[in-house]
Amino acid sequence: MSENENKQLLRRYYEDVLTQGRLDVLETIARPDHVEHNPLPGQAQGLEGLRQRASILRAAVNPQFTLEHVIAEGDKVAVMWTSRGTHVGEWFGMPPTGKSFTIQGVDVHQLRDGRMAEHWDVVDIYSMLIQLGALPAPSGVAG
Amino acid sequence: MTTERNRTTILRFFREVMGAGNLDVLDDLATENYEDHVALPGQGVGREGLKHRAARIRAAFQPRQRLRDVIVDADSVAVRWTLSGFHSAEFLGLPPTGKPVEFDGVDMYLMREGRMAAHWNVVNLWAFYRQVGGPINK
Repeated sequence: MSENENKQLLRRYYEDVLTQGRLDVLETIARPDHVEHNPLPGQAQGLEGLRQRASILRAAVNPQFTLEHVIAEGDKVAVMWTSRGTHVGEWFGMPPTGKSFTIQGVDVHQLRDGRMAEHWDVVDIYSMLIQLGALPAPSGVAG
Repeated sequence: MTTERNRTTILRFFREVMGAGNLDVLDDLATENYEDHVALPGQGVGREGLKHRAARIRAAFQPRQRLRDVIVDADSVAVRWTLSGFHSAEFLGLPPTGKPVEFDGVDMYLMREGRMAAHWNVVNLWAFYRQVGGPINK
């Protein structure tokens, strides 16, 4: 798979799976032995874990992803995204607040044989917790 | 080749500037009108602003940054790192606590003619705040 094909495959993950909820697509874009390095609470490993991750995310915050930067080299793809969501279900132990928020994150995906094989992420959870009212807004501090 | 030139610049930035504190090499590594989309409060603009940023992060954390991924795609570069250090100077309004910190981030750079020209990032500040005890515990 070329780097452009890898990018296209990842776009399907964000658009079809995470945003539209078509979990069946995962079978064609991810490996059965997918390794998750940053699992959500309760997320298993493997393809089943990816299904759980998408389900948990969609039930908790109904995210809409916008991809800001997609950077690929070899079989690695980094994706910086903005996600707009609404806190409609339990999320990290927090009962739903109904509040909307916008956060940013970066995923790094390792592909193998043209499918998603491993995943790491860095997400600005701090900003989300402030927007959900779980943390006080910083005083006199610009982000 | 563009890709290798860009990789060399970014590796030099993390080693020589963030690691060793040699701010002057930024004159070679960054464009004068370097554009930081995630500037620290009071960072200032351009390459001089980047020098202030590097100095402040080094003072705040005495950091060691382990590079987990360096992904170079033409003139775009992503760097995923883990920063370890001690919270030893004011940072984002928090006075120094002296506590050990370790958190992850990803920087993204847009390069121009082998130099760093623009920057975005996502950093797990929640981990930092939890480790130093504020402002979360206020």
